Amino acid sequence: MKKIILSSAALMSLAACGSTSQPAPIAFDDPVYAQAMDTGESAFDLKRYKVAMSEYRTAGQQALKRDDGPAMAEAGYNLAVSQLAAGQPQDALKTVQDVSQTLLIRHDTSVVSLKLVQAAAYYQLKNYTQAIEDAAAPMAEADKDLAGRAALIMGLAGYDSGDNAALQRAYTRLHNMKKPVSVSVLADKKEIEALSLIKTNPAQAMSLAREVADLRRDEGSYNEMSRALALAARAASISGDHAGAASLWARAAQSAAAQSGSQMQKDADQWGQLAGGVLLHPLAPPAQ
Amino acid sequence: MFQIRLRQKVKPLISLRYTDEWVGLLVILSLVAFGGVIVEAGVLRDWLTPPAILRVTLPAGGVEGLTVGGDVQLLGAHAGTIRSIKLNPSGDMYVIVDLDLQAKPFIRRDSTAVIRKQFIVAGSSYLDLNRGYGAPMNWDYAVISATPAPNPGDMITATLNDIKTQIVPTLESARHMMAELDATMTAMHEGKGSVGQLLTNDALIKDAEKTIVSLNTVISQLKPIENQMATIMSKADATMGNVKSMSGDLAKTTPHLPAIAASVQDSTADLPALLTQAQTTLYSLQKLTNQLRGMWLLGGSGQPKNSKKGWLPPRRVQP
Repeated sequence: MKKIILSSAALMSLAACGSTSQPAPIAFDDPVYAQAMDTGESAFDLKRYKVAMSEYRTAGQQALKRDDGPAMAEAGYNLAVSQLAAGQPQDALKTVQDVSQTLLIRHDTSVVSLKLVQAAAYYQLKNYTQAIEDAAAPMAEADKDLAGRAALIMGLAGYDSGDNAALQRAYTRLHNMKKPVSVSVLADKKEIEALSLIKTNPAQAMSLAREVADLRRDEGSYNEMSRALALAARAASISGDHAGAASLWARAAQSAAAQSGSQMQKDADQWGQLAGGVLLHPLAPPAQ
Repeated sequence: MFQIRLRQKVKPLISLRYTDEWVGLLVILSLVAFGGVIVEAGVLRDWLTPPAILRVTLPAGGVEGLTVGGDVQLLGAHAGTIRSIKLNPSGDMYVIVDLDLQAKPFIRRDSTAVIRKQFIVAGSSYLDLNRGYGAPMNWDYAVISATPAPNPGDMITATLNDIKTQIVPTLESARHMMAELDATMTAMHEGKGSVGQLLTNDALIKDAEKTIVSLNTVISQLKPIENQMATIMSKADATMGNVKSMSGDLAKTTPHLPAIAASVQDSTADLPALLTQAQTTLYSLQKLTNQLRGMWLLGGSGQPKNSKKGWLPPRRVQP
């Protein structure tokens, strides 16, 4: 009996030790702020970007009430990321500028993550020069996820603008990153590698792009998976595999068409034409 | 005729000495008094002061009957005479008027002159000066312009011409209308056109009679339907009675509506608080779930997933 009581006490004490976590940031003592941030994150994960934006705005307002610069940066960063995901790069840019101004008033250090968002927004707006310039600072950070994503943006911008030096810088940064790296960074690395090989070795580039598509699917980034499929289709087309290219274009187009956002619909139309006129919405209800 | 001066031996009653001298003195005094009166009356001043010279330029039509010595009037009163009529090198005519001094203040730079006839359409012409109200005239070279008075005869002629130009087309139109009416009536009498056929041909009247007969037939066929309509109307009347009854029931229910609304209001007043409590409970549950997930006994790592709590991971930044 004594053994049972002692073992139960030991288990309870261990459980108590396990339930303690690291102290949360100060702003999370504010229930309104904390709840808005948590709800925003849940909405973002469910791809309900409008709800996420609304919650992050509420959190930002609460941070302003608290006169809390770091909390404001956090809420503003999340809001800008949500706007980017919703296909509103112009709004994301404005959010980044507003948050930077707010931090400047409070003499807080600027957050490098905001530079990453700014670079992504400029890339969506097809301002590749500015995107490469803004991606340089976060790419130099020690945080692998941050640096990996910045390198991806620089590489994509370099490829789209024909700036091979930027593409090579991005590839070098990702290639020299110490292991282990997250799945996301691994996919970024393979995608940039595929882009740098697409002209010289399209077959290998297609293979890499297919791997990227699988990785993106596993982590739930379907829009990036569509982009990887389109990259694979482009590589197949260059290597002369036109049937394979058409199939990949069709898969990319249907995936993009099933997603929200005006840019994705444009991409879907373009890729559908390259596939030779594929049915973009095969499961759509019949027209009345 | 001849008088013989006889020596009078009778001594006069009154003897006057120096009679001639006294008479002479009286004559001189009379002359002096007369001169003083003339000076006092200003007659000499008028005689000695020269008249004002006014030049009046004439219209292109010429002198319009003005003559040298003609009358010049101001405000209906005599104000001077025409001294001469001149022709200047540019071909214009003007007259020189001796203007009375008392008329000078009334003649200013904006004064004008009108050439009128004594009896409007007849008689001698004269210059009628208008009173001016502008800047004073420079009497060293005073010039005003004259215009002829409108001729009433010309105005009457113009008015008659206007009346003629307006009436003649109207008369022509009236004549044309009457001709058309005459032609139309003639054609109608001859049986031309629809109206003419109506007047001369009785086929249309016969058709109308046939139509009336057909209408009578239709009306007789409609009579059974009229009976059916009466039935329908009676049913509609019963339906309306039901509706009225329903309305009465609704009216009876209406007094209870405020109480029902108040109950609903009381119930809904608690809803915001209930929702907030539910929201808070759900959030607490979520936090509890996250903590339970983190417990190593339940397979968690014991550490929060993201050390930078609240920040979305960089992989969510979509290029």
